[in-house]
Amino acid sequence: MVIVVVTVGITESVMARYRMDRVPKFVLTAFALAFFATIVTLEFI
Amino acid sequence: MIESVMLWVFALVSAPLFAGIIFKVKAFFGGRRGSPLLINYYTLIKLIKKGSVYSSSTTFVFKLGPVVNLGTIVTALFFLPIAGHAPVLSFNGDAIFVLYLLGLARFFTIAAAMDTASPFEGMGAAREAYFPIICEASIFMILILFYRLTGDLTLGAFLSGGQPFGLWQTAGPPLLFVVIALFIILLTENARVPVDDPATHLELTMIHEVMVLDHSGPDLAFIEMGAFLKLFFYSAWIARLILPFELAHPLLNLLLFSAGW
Repeated sequence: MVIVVVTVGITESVMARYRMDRVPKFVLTAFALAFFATIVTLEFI
Repeated sequence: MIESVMLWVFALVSAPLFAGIIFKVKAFFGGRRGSPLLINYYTLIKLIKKGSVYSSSTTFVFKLGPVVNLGTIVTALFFLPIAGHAPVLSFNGDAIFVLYLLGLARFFTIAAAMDTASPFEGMGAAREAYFPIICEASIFMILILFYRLTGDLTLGAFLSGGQPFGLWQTAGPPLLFVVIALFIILLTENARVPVDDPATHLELTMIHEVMVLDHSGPDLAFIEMGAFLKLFFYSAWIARLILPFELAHPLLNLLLFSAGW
């Protein structure tokens, strides 16, 4: 837990807030990663 | 069962502390001493002691928002395995149920914001409705992956016991992507930088904060507590995945889970 919240704190310290039009792209990165992980798993397991 | 309930109580009690650690880390990197670690507890006590102020343009929906928000996230924590221990409640498909509980909380927060008839809050509500849609799609994709790996759709099957370690052995590299995706989802769902800045009050930088501007007193305390618990929910999920080890004693497990070093 401490690792996760410290990482959040570090992220907030070193990054600035994204412009509003960039936020969907940032959030879509999560979807792309999850989608890729699922496809890889479906293919090989 | 008793241990599960005690861990659930631990989640409720410790959630503001973990949110306080973020303040401390930010202060450290900013070269400041920062607020005390227990600042969130002081804030909650201060807010609960105050009275709520309601605009004459609001209805019961405005009062219902904070209560439903806190109630749903507290209920969602019943289904979360904390420190690798079995959750208090579990049934087949509870992972989807929990996501809809969080969606219900969001719906009522948005409804309460719209109820004020303020265009400023309406703007925040529109943003709050937009970004989590993408997050939900990501979480459902992660659930598909976990279902594929475990053959189960319960959070208990994903995160309790030695299961996370088994997941790493079965599909290590994809799980690394999942951890990064969950971290981005955590930042988005909890309105953290770089998606939102909870410290600012400028209309161009606000998503979640703008919706709760009209709440005060105990209502605001409920919203704040709900936000701490939501942060705990996602952090616990990630913490369990990055530290999938299980120690011999439940207390040692809790220590490993909390400290995470």
